[in-house]
Amino acid sequence: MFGLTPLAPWFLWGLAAVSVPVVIHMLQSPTAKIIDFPCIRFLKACQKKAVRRTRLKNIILMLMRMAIIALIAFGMAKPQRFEEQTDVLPDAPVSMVVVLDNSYSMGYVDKGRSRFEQALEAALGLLGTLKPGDEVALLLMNEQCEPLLPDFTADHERARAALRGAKLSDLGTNADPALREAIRLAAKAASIPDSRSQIPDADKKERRRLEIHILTDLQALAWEPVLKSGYLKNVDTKATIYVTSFGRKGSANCFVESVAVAGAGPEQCSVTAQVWAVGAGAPGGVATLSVNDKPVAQETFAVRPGAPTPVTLTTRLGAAGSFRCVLSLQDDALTADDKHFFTVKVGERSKVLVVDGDPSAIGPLAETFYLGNALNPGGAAAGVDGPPPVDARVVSIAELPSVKLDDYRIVLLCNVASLGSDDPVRLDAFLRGGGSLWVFLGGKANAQEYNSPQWSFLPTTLTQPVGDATKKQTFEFGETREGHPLFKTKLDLRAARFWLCWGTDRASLKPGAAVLQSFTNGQPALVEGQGPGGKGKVLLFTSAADSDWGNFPLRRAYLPWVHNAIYYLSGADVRGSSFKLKEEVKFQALATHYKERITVTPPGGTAIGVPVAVKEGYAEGVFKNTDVPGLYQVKADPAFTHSGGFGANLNVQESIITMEDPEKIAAAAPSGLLKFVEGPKRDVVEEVKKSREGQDYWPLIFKLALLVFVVESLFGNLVSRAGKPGGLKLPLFEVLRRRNPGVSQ
Amino acid sequence: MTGSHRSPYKGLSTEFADHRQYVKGDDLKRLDWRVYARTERYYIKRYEESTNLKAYVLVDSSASMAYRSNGVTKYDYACHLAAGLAYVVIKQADCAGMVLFGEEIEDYFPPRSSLSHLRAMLDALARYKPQKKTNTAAALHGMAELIKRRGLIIVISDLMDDPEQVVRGLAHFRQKRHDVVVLHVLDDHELNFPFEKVATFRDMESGEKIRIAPKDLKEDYGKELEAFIAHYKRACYENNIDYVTINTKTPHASFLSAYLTRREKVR
Repeated sequence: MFGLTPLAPWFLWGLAAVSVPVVIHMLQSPTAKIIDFPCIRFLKACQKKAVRRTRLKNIILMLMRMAIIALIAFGMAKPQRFEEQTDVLPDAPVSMVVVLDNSYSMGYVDKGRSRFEQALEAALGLLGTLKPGDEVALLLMNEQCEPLLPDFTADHERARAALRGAKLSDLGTNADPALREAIRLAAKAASIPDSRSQIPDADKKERRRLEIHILTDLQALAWEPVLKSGYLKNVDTKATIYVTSFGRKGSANCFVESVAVAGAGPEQCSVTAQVWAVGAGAPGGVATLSVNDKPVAQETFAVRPGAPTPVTLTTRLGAAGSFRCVLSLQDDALTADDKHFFTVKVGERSKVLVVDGDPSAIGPLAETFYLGNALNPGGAAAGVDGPPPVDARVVSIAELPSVKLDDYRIVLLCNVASLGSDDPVRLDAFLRGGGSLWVFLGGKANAQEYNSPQWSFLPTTLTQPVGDATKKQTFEFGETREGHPLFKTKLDLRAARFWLCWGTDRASLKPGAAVLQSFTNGQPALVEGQGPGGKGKVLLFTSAADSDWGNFPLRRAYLPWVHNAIYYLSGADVRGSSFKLKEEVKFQALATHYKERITVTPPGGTAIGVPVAVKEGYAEGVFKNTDVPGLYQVKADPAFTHSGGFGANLNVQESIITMEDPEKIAAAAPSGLLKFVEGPKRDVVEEVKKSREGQDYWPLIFKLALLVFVVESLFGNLVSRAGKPGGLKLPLFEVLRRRNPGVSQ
Repeated sequence: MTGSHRSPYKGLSTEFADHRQYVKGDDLKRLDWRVYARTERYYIKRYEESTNLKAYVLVDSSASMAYRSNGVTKYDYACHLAAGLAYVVIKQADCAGMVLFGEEIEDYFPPRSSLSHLRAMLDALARYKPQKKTNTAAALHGMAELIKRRGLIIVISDLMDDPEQVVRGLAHFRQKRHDVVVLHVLDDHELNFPFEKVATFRDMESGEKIRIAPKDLKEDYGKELEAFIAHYKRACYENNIDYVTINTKTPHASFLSAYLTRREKVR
């Protein structure tokens, strides 16, 4: 009745006593005595309304008396309400799945304790409600579902120990997998027979009470996959899912979203951090840049709430090398996202020799006019405080024999018709010494010459110029080799048009050589190869360095394209290495540089070997264990990307602390499936006890009976007051008394 | 024997009043021959009539008058009042008559001033038991036609009849220039209606029954009765009739004493 279950149902027989007032009411009627009265005309005049009123009063009184008896009888039956799973027997054993959110956002500190600690305490409290024979399974919820106790156990001590061992992770949250796993476990528990119960099989009541407890900060991002998938709408489970929220709306947080390393050259490095402030917090703070564990720069900043604010810190890194950097903010309630780890690899200043195969006294007509300007640009790109990052010297092909190649790191040959007699040997030695060579072709290039042994360092053989010299039909840059460091910086090359290029023989591609970039006419644009003995890098650009064969030198993307290639060839760039947790880190280099094993040492951990695969002349290793935020040390050939180490950082999406609306989640699930326990006085343990043990209603019913009794007494007195002596005074007699002094009533 | 009341009538008596011209049919014995001798005109001598007051006590003997909440019925009370008033009138050497009426005039005693007449009236009052229905108005009209000479009309009744009709009956007396006094006798229970328990009330005249919860009706009953009395009071005032409501709980001697004293003062 009304969802209430009487614990002493035999008292319900007392409900029969409600008929007593009815009987009394009916018995009263015939016993009325007859009174002779002089004249009943006045009584008749007021009888109609009085009778109606009296009948109503009597019925009300009778009903109240019936209610008092009914309430007393019902209260003595001790009714209790079981809020859910009413089809479960009150003494049924409990199968409980506890899902503990250990995402990094649970590290948010509220009133001196982190939300994770509060959730952990609640989880231990829930374990305390279990009786012998009850079972529990434990899951950790972050971006994945991590089973803490993957199967149900009745060993509660073991469960407690496992819970106490749970740690906060550095990951975000995705409620979907954990929810699915919890429901799967609940379904499994439903099929377990109960040895404790003596209930016959025919009984339709469920033999186990199934509970899933999700202890979380209710991050919107975590529940988004659940809402999108619509999983909850069609879920078929007999479990009740309690979602206890430890989050609080409007929680303030300040964090570093990303860091970009800019600036160029060995002397100076600028670090620009995107800093967010969300919630009602401080409008600003102090950002500190530490290099190799020493603070080197500090910047006070003001943030715009709800939007990233760029904070730039500049420092001189000094000599070439790899630097371990940490950008940190002042500690706030959530400290995990206040630091960003990255490394900066600074190469040596590149000395470049540009050999012009088609020089001209008129500057713009020279083959290397555009290239020279790109390598030695003026203005801002030249470096504000120091020398330009590239030290380029342009010489004609005739001057090449007199130039000491050892002084240079890179040699660029531009539209050279042929080499001098000693040049091939010198270039061979240059490459063997670790130098790099970049060859641009053009009208003066000769296939026979370039395919001769003197040019054996070229990665492929030439066939003939391809295209339309009349410029009526042009082609563009096409596919690029994905993941190659040369294309790490995305450039918009769509405006570049070519009308001529040299064709190559693909079959003649030398071992270790690879096509890095192609034209849309199918011909290779940029081919990479190795020097003799696998030493040095060789790049071949199959079109011209000037504007004779294309307009590329006139386009905006030309300068960064050239610089990227120069930095790649020399390794003399400033690069930051920073990854997100769980992100794969690829180590790439020409296969010739893979001579020693690559090892990665996570922060506070031991070295881990990275398996390397050689394919198409490239060696590539993938490191997948970026599990911990911090700086990772890498031991590898300097030619490999990220050889100086890298930083791994939180995926800070959850740092924009936004709580999901419980009503929205509840609406996405069948009615009554989800029970939200939230608010500052949340106590999931009390909620669970109530739902299991039921809520006693008999005190309330007795109070109600008392209240009805009081009302009945007052009403009864009110009704009978008119009949009491002195209760009703007729003004008539006061008048009579005045008119007839001496006459008393 | 002469009464203490001056008669409004002129006739034979010892005290001269005035003269009037002789008209045919006058008793020649009353001719004032002295005036004839002086004026040769016929004049009749007129004297102050020294007749007694004729008081008529009308006692309601309908069934409703048999009601009593204490030891005295309204009829008994009315009898006591009637006896007292008749005694006072006769003792003043005036004449007292009596009428018992219910649905009609039950008994009639013409006004006389002897004590034996008083005794006869008292015997009749004691003998009679109220039992019939009321038709007060008809009785009053009948009496108004019956009594030819002006006198004092004392109506002692509970007036449980149609008030409009009763007032017309009383007004009839006034038209005949009678001095009218109405003593409205009501029982204490009629006035205060102290009943509480549910009971069936039976009309003493019609026998009609009604089952009620008195305590629920008390307030409304009080209002109805008050309006009833107020109606009589207003109508009597408009007709220059002396009206008094009497609770049977009040000792009749006390009432008579107080009432007669008040009447004396009013004179």
